Amino acid sequence: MTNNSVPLHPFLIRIWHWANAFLVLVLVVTGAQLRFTDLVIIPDYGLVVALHKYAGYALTVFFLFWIVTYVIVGGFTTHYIISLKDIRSIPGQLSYYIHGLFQGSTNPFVPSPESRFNALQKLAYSFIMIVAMPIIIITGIIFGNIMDFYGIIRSTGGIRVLDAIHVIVGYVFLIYLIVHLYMATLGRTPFSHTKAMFTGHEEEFK
Amino acid sequence: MRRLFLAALVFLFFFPLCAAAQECIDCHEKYQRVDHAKLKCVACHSDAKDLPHAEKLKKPECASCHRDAVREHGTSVHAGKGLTCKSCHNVHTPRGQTKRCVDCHTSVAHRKLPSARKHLAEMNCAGCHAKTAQGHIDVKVESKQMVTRDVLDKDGNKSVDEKEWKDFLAHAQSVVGNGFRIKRVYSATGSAHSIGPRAVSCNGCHVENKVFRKAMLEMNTGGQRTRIALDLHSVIPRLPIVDTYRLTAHGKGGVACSDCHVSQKRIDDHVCAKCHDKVYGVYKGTAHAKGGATKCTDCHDPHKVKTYRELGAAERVAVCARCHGDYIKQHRWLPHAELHFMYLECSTCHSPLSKKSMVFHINVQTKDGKRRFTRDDITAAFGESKYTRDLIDVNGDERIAPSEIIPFFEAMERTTKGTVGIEGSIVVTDIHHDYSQVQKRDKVCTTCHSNDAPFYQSMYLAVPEMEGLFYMPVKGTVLAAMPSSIALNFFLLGETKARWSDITALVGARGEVRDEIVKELGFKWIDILGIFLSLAVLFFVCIHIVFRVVFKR
Repeated sequence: MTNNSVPLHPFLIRIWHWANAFLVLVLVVTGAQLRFTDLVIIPDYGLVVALHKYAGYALTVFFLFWIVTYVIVGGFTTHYIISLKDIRSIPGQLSYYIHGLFQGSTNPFVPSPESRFNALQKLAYSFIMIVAMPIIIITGIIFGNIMDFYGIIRSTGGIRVLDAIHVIVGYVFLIYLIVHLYMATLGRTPFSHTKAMFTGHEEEFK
Repeated sequence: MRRLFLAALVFLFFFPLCAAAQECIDCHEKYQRVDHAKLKCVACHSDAKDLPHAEKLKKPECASCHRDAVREHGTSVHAGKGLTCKSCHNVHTPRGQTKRCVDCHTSVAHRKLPSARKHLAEMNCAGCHAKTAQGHIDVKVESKQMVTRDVLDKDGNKSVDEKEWKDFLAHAQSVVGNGFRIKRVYSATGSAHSIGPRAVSCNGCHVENKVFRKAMLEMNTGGQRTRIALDLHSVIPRLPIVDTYRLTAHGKGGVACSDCHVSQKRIDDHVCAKCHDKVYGVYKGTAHAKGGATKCTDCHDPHKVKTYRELGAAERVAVCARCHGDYIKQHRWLPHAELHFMYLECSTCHSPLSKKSMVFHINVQTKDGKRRFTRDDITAAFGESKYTRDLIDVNGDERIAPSEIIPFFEAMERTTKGTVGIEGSIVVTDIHHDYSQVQKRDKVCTTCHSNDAPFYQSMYLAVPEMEGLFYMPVKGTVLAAMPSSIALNFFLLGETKARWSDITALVGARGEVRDEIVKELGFKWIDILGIFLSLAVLFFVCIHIVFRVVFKR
């Protein structure tokens, strides 16, 4: 750890992030096999069903853990809720990713413990955590206990509609994952953001 | 004072009669022993009050006292045959010389009555033949072993129903030593004046409760006595409804009761094999049939109006569950076991040689509840002359496409004033009666949850026709294209996923065919767009990487 690094990611958030990352990976892999049953990643289909189900429950637990963590460490509003200033910064941030980055410009946003995410990150993360995650968790729990929620399922259009919602949000997660994994390499070095997610300290740009 | 006045009136009324009685006997000596409720002659022969009376007296009116009996008799079969009161009753000595049924009906064979001896021993003639027959059943159970009320009436509804009684009998049979003595007494009688043209039908007791109205169970066990109501059909075996037999497959085929019921014994497999010899040839060597463990009639009720073909998956499971009641427990390994059994029948896995298909039944949901779509619905909307299959299959290619089924459903929703939907199930459409090949139960989910599942090649819409259900082939893509409101009750994991063949078909098609394919893709668009967007994002990421490499960033 260098002296010019800033403490960015609280310990509890890092725990949540990596647990979440692992579970999302399991869910994407098993989800793909459940959706495309001919795609054999894990030979035991029953195991795939069980893995997807219980990884989903674990994801739910860690989602609650994430909420509790933000209640403890605070700063949810500043990290996730987009402000007017953030909206104004979007064109600059986009320009950096599309154009400036290749010309050697510095990132217009400098993360700090008070404000970790730039405007685009805020938009993406808040959409994923506040909209997509609850939808996929709720539809997933209903899927895991169809007989218990049969009345609700029927009144909301049947299992096919439930499946459609779950799968659409699943694709949202997949697209988000591709972007997120790639954007993670846009730090000072390709792995500096990833390293920061382990150590909690982000090395500052010189 | 009032009582005294009434007594005086009665005395004054009867005094002249009493006085006349001896005078009657003086001439009519043979009526010395008249014993009709102690009445005097003039009570009936009122026109003989004044002596000497007319030579021809009026006929006494029995109805003046026996109004109800005369009325009942008037509607009876006996009245129709010209019988009067005097035909059975000697009116001057009615107690001693009333005729019994057997005095006229000397040779009643009751040949057509099943279990004749048992019926005749338990019931008197009026019990079956009187229009007013009524009865009750007393069941007495005695044993040294104590049986509490809770053991009998498990659900605590103060009545022992058929299942509770059956359970108790099984328990009673299993007790060795302190054996149970069970006595059933059937008491039924009715007014002999109301004998009808026909006896009560078998259904009268064995289906409905026309004669026996209640049954009481008296337990004298372990020195304690309890009484509790008993369901009538615990002690009167239920019979199939004879009236609806003509609607069954056998009834429609002209099979008479006596073709199968050759004796009072339970139908034997060999009776079924007389016609179904080919099926029985397969069945007799299987695990089910060995040692007579399961008879044909254990699974197939020939008196059911619905044929096996008309049963949905859940109804077929119910047939197996009569013996394999723990089937959910046995399928713990299966995710969503209960849900699966709403749409799968046991034979789907346990009869590997049978042909499986995806069959869609049409349901109508109205304010009165959900019901199966019937031929009557078609008749009401389109008249009797048209076949249902012709109404759906507009282009006449003998295969239903989504563009045909959706307008048909919309038309039916207008006429039935309900929501018309399909209920799919994966069922056997050509049964092979061998359930012995246990090795086929391989617990592999992908047998069904895969593109190669056999039933995807064999999909049918069960359409009601006048002759019964007709299985109409359905184009494989119909499920994906079905609006969710129609296919509310059916979903097969993986069935809405897009396949490569869908994409190539879409790209290759032009004009109207393409429009049709676009519609048929239905929920598959989620995958197509999802994968396209994922690949597009991945493509931009790759471009970004290339730029970073080129600009060394």
